[in-house]
Amino acid sequence: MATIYIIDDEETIQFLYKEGLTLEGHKIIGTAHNGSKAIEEINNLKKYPDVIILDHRMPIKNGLDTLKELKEYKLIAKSKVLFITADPTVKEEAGKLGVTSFIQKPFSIIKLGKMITEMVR
Amino acid sequence: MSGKQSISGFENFFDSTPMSIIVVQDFYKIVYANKAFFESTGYPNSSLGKLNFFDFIHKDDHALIQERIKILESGGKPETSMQIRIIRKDSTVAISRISAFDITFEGKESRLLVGVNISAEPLLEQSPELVNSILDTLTKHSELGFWVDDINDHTVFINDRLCASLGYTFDEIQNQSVTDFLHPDSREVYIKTLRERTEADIPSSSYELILINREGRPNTFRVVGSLLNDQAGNPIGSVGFFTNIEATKKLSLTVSVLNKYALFSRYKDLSSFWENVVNDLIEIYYADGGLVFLDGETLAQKGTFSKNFNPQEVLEDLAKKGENVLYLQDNLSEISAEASSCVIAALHLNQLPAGFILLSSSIENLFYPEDIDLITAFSSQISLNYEHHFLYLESEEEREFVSVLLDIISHDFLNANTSVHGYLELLDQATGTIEPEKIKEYVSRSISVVERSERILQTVQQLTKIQRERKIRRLVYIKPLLENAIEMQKTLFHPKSINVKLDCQKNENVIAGDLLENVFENVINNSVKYANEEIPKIDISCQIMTVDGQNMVEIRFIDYGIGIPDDVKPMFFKRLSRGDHRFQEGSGLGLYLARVIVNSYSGEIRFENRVSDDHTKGTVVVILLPAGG
Repeated sequence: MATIYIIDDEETIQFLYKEGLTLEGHKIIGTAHNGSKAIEEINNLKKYPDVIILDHRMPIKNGLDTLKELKEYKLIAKSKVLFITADPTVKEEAGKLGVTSFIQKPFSIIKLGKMITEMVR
Repeated sequence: MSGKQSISGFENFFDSTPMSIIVVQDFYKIVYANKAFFESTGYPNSSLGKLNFFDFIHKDDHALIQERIKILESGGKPETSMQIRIIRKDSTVAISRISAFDITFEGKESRLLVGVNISAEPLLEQSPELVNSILDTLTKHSELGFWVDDINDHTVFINDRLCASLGYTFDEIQNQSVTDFLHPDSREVYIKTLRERTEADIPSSSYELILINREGRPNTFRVVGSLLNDQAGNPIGSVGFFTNIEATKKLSLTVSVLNKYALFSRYKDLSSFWENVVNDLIEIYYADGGLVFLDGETLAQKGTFSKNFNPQEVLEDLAKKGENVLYLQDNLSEISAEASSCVIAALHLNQLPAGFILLSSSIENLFYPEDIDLITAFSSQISLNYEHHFLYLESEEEREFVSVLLDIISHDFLNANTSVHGYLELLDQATGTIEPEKIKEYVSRSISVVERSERILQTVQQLTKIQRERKIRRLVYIKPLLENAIEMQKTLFHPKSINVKLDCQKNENVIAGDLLENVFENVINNSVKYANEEIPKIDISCQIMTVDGQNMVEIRFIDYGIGIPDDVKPMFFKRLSRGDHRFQEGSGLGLYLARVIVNSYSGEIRFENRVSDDHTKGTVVVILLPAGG
């Protein structure tokens, strides 16, 4: 079981993550619609999440920018980031910022749950 | 050898004359030279016998001498007189007029050469014919014109070449001043140069002068001018070498203008583009009038044209004749009462004549054939640049359109698929164990996602319509369009009430298209959707104003809704952004589309706060569009 923080601008997708990942036994400890809000919230959490699900395509601050801030606050070292993007060039840059797990839409929510289980094993 | 003269016994006489006299044998060998020769060349008497005739002839005149020798060798008779340049021992050059005769010297066939140093005396003291002959010899390989004035600025000499270039005879120019032939633009330059020569001690200078020829055509010359002094060093006149650079100058200026306007995007104010082109061409070609007609419109005009002048007919004539250029000198009254010559060069769009550049002048025969070629080439190139600019803009728009479509597919539909797929998976996974509320929730969310996809598809259809219709513009009256949009939204939100106050005049209109109503609907829809009140309130007003000299109509949609934070405001008009999670109901493309539509009508759309420092008190959507008639 992993504790998960979700950063995605789409409420419907957030809800799907919550439902699907909870079914797999994971625990959602927080959600944010953008990177700025997420960093503030994660820093205020008593315990850092095991996994941060980070969508790249977001308004205001995209996934990569959020990732840079996560790195700045040393959150990448404390949590594993699952980066959601279909763009190979972004993938490369995210890799340089310390991301090792990627998933591309569309994906199966069941498989995503299993993938997170593997990540924290 | 009979008939040939001998000089034996004449040496003393020869030494008393100021003319240089030499005797040459075997074509090259100088066997006798008089005192004046040694004095004028600087060679000592002892060099006699060692000197070769070619030793003191300027290398550029060797060919002339060789030619004469050939004639002599073949038994022919070369002309008696010639002008050659003599190189003195100190390497200075003297111009000498030489006469040559066959003689017998010390029992051997020889040539007696008698030379007058014509450069030693001021040119002004020579006869015009002689000076012309000398200058012609000097300048024959360089196409140079030559003009000599006395100290009172009266013409003393002008060579045949320059006379021909100006279209006058020497007699007509003699005693006149250079200023009598100057274009007004050159008078100041010429007077300043003359003043500098005498007062500022700048004896030589290089400058440009525009002279008017007999036909009234201006010609630009590059002039190298210099003071002429007498032997005591006092100025007695001035001399100028004239090179006609008119064709080169026009070519260079025409290319510069083309370069200047090579990329329209570099040119900031497109509204005055053609006006600037016309002004530049008028200046280069000394024209008085100019006009650009393209795509059914007169885009620039300088000068007065006749009432009967119909550009469309001129274009049709050009197309009918299959010509790229028309040069007219007769029957110009239908174009302009003042015009005596006129060039009309075609402008092409899609490789078809679509307009023309017209240059006219009150001067007859103003345009040289090379001018007409240049103007034609200019017109072809500038219309290519013009077309290229708009094709580029169009391709940019197409690219943005394709990019938006791809983005919609790769993001919006992908998200929708992921959501629906996920909810179906959850339903499948938990069949039999799942609570009915959950089933309802998943199904309801899936329906909502599918509905959003449908809205996105409708937006894509709208985008396609924009692509198709963005160029169709007409006079649009705003008030009825707003009334329709308000009614449409009232129906859409029924039974919810909407309180709309519309303050626009019936006759207020803009240059836009049918898609403007979609923009109004979208803006009103957002105001209602994100309203704070039970009955959403919207105030709509219209106002005519001048922006950068252009009449515009500002339409303001004031709502009292939840407002938009300042940092989020610009995001709304971008693709992929609903700006904030609070605004998730739509396709996310509505305001992006509004911006694309308004921009395509040369307008602007932006957000303002209803209360300037407090975004939470509501939003104002400001739309600015070019005013109609």
